[in-house]
Amino acid sequence: MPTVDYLNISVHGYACEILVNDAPIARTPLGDPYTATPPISEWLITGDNELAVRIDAVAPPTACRDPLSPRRLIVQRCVGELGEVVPAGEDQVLDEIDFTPHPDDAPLVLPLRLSDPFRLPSGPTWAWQSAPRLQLDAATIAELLMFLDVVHADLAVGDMSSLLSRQQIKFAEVAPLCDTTPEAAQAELRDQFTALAADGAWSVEPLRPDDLELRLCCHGRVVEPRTRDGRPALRGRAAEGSEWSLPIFIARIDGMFEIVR
Amino acid sequence: MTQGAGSPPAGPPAPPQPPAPPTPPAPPQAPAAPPAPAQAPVPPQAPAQPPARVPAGPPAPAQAPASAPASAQAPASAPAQAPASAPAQAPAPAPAQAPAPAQAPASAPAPAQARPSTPQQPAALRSNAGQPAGAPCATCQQGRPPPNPPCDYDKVEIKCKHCGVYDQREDIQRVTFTLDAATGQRSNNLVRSPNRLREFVTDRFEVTGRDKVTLTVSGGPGFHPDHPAMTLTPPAVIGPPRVLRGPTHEVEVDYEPNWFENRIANLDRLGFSAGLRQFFFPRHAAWQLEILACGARQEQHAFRRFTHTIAVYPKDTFKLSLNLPAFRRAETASSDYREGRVQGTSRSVTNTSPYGRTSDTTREETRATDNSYMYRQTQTSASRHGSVTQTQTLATLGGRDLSGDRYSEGEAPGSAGATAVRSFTFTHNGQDWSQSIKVAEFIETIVDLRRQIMSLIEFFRSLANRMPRIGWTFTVEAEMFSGSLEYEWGYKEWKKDHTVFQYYKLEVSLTVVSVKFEIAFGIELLGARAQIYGAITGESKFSATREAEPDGDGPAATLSSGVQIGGELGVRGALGDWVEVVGRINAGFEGKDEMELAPFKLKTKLELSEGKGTFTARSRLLFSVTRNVTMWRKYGLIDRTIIG
Repeated sequence: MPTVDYLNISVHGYACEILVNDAPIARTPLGDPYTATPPISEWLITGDNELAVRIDAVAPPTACRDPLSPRRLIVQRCVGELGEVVPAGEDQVLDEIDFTPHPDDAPLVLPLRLSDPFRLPSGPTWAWQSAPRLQLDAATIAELLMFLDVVHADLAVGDMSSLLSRQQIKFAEVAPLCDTTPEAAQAELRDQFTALAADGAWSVEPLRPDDLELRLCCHGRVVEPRTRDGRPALRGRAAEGSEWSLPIFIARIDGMFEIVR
Repeated sequence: MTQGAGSPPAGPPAPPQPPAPPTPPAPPQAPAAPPAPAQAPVPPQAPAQPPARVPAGPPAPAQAPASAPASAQAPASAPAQAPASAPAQAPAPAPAQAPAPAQAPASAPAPAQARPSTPQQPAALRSNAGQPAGAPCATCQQGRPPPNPPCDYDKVEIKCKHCGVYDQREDIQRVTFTLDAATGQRSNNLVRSPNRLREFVTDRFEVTGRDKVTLTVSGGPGFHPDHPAMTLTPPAVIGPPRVLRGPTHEVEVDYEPNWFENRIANLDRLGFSAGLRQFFFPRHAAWQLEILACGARQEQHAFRRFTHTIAVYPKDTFKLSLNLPAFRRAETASSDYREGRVQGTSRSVTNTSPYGRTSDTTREETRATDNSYMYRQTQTSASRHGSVTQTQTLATLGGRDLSGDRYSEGEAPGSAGATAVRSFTFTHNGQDWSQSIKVAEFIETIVDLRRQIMSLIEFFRSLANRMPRIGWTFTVEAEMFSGSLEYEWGYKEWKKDHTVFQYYKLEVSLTVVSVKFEIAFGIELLGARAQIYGAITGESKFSATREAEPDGDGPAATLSSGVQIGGELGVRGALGDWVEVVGRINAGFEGKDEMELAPFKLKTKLELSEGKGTFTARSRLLFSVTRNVTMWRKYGLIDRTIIG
C-alpha cells in the first residue's frame, strides 16, 4: 500500500488557515475544536517546501477552560499508509508546528504567520508548478468567471463527461496518489453523482459574482474560487438531505484554464 | 357531647320557640306566643324561676292571664271539651296553652287540687302567682321543660405556652376567633405569611408536642351550668375524648407516644430508603376541639358551636451526615487491532465484589510489529486483607529477548465502601442511631449506580463491533457520591404565627456523579471509514448551605444541579480522503439532580446524550459530501431516587 503525506491538525481557540506551499489545506473555526488528517501529497514538491499557519483570530481565555479541550495549535506533518485509520497519538510525525505562547507573552499581532520549511528529496513534478503566475486583472477575472460558469453549467445539468474533461490533469496526477487509475476514479465519480442525484435531489447553488472570491495561492500560480465566507464556490444539495461541494483549484495550463486539484 | 336542656336542635337563632302543640285548640283570643318579658316581671320566690343571674328570663306563665281574659273561663266551662289529660299528651306545649291551668288562683281555686269544704279552714298557702303550696306548678303539670336560659359566647382564644415567649412564638400572644352577635360577622387574628408559597392555615392551631394549650371562651350573655362544654378528641392511639366544662382550660397535648421507637423498629423490614423516609416530617396528630354553648341569646346571631384542630407535631430533631470518600472506579476494555504497522490485542476483565471485598483482575496485552513482539500478563487478586499483583512480561525487541516477573502489594478492595459505612451517621435528638440504619443498602445502591454507568462500555462495544476492522478502546471512570452532606431537620413552631414549619438545615458539598469516558472506535461516516475518539466528562455536584426560612422569598426548598459536560470528541478518516466535523460533535451527558429539602429527597438522572454531528467527507477526486449523522441514540444510565 502506498504511503501518504498528511497533516495531523488539532486546533482549538484559534481561527487559522493551514497552508502547504501556499496552498490552503484547512481552515479552523474560532469557537470549536478542530481535528483532521488531510492529505498533502499532491501539494508537495521536490526540494524546498513550507508548512505554514496563518492565525487570523484568537478566542478569549474563557472559551478554552476545559482541561479536556484546551487551547492548542498543533499541526504535524506525518506519513502513513494510504487507507489506514491511524489511532490518535500513533501518527508517524515528520515535522510539526506547536504554537504554545506563554501567558506572559505580549498579545499577538494578527494575522500571525507561523512557518516550518522543510526539504524533500526528488518526487513528481506537478502541472501547477510550471503554471504562469496570474494577475487578477479584469480580463483574467472575466476569463475565470466564464470558466466557472461553464463548469457550473456542467454541474447544473449533470454533465459529468464535460466536468471530467476539465479535470483531466487533476485525475491524472492525484489518482495514482489514491492508489487508483484516472479511469477508475472517473467511474467512481459518475457513480457518486448518480447516488447524490437520486430522486431528483441534485441541485446547484447559483454562482454569485458579488459573493465570489478568487483567491490566489501557490504563489500566484493557482486560483481557488470560493465564497467570501470560505465555502467552495461550486456546491449544492443532494439526496438524503446531504450537501455536496467541489473545491477546485484552477491553473492556466498551456494557455487554458484547467482544474488541477 | 352535652347539650343544655331545651336547647334547639341546631342553629344559632336566638330565643327558642317551642313548637306549637297539635291540641287542644286554643280559644281564638289566646295569644300565640308567650307574653313579653317586660309584661311579666317574675317575683324572686317564683319556683319556676331561671337562675337569678339571668336578668331577662322567660316570663312566668302565671302572669299571663292578665292579658288573656278569655282563657279565664276555661277551668269552669272548658274541662268537658278539654280534658285534663290533654296537656299530658303534649309533652312540650306552647306557652299559649300554659296559661290555662294557671289562671285559676286569681278567681277560683282549681277544683281538683283544693276543695275547701268549709270556710273555717285556713286558706291554702299560695305563691304570689297563686300557685298552691305542695302542688306541682302549672309548668310541671303540663310536663313542659324549663325555658332555655341565655347561653353563648363572643370570643374563643387559643394559645400555647410558647406564645409571647421571647425567641419562641414571640410575635403572637394568642389566636382569637370573635363573633359580632349583632351582625353575625366572624373574625380572627390569624397572621398570613408574606411568603405566598406558604399555606394560610385557618383550620388548626399548630404546636410541637408536648405542649400545653390554653382554651378560653369569653363574652356573651352567660352560660348554662353545663356550658361551655369543650370536647377535645385526640387521635385514637393517644386517648379517649375529654369533655371540659367551663370557660377556660389548660390542656396538655402531645404527639403519638413512642412514635420514634415504633418506627425505628420497622427499619429491618423497610430497608434504608423507606426506613429513613419514615422520619422525614411525619404527619401531625390532629386533636379535634369542639366548644358548645346553647347559642341562646337576645341578638340575632350566636356562636353556639366552634370547632378547630390542635395539630401536634413531633418535636424531635434529626440529623443525617454523609462523608463519603472518593469512590472512583475505572474499567478499560479494548480489542484486537490489525491495521497499521502494529498488530495487537488487549483484554481486561475485572470482577469486584464490594461487600465480599474481593477482586480478581486479569489483563493481557500483545503488541507486534515487523521486528518486535511483546506479551504482558497482569493478574491481581485481592481480598479484604490486601492485594497482590503479578506482572509477567515476555518480549522480543530488535532481536533481543526480554522477560520480567514483578510482584507488588496493594490495598484491599472495597475499603472505600467500608469507610462509607463508617462515615454515615443518623442521630435522633442528639443520640446516635446509625447502627439501626441499613447503610449497606445505601452503599449497594451507589455500587449499583456505578455499575449502570460502567455499562457504557458494553454500549460502545456494541457500536464498535459494527466496524470490526478498526480497533477500539474504551475507558470509563465513574465516581458516585463523594463529598459531604449534613442535613438536620425537624418541626419547629414559627415565631410569627400559629403554625409549625418544616425546619431544615443543609450543608452539602457533594459530587453526585462524575463520569469520564475515553473512547476510540471505528465508524462508517458518509461511506468513509473513520474513527471517533476523545474524552467526554459529565459531572453533577451540589455545593450549598440552606436553612429553612418560612417567610423568606429566598432560596426555594429544592436544589437542582445539571450535568456539566466537558471534553471533546474528534474524528479521523482513513488516510487519503479525510473527514472533518462542521462545528462540534454533540456528545456528552444530560441529566439533573434534585435535592428536595422538606422533606429530604435526592433524585438523580443521568443519560448519555445522543451522539451526532455534521460531518464532511472530503475527497481529493470526488465530490465532498456534508450530512448530519447520528452515531448513537440517547442511552439512559440512571433515573432513580437515592434517598427519600
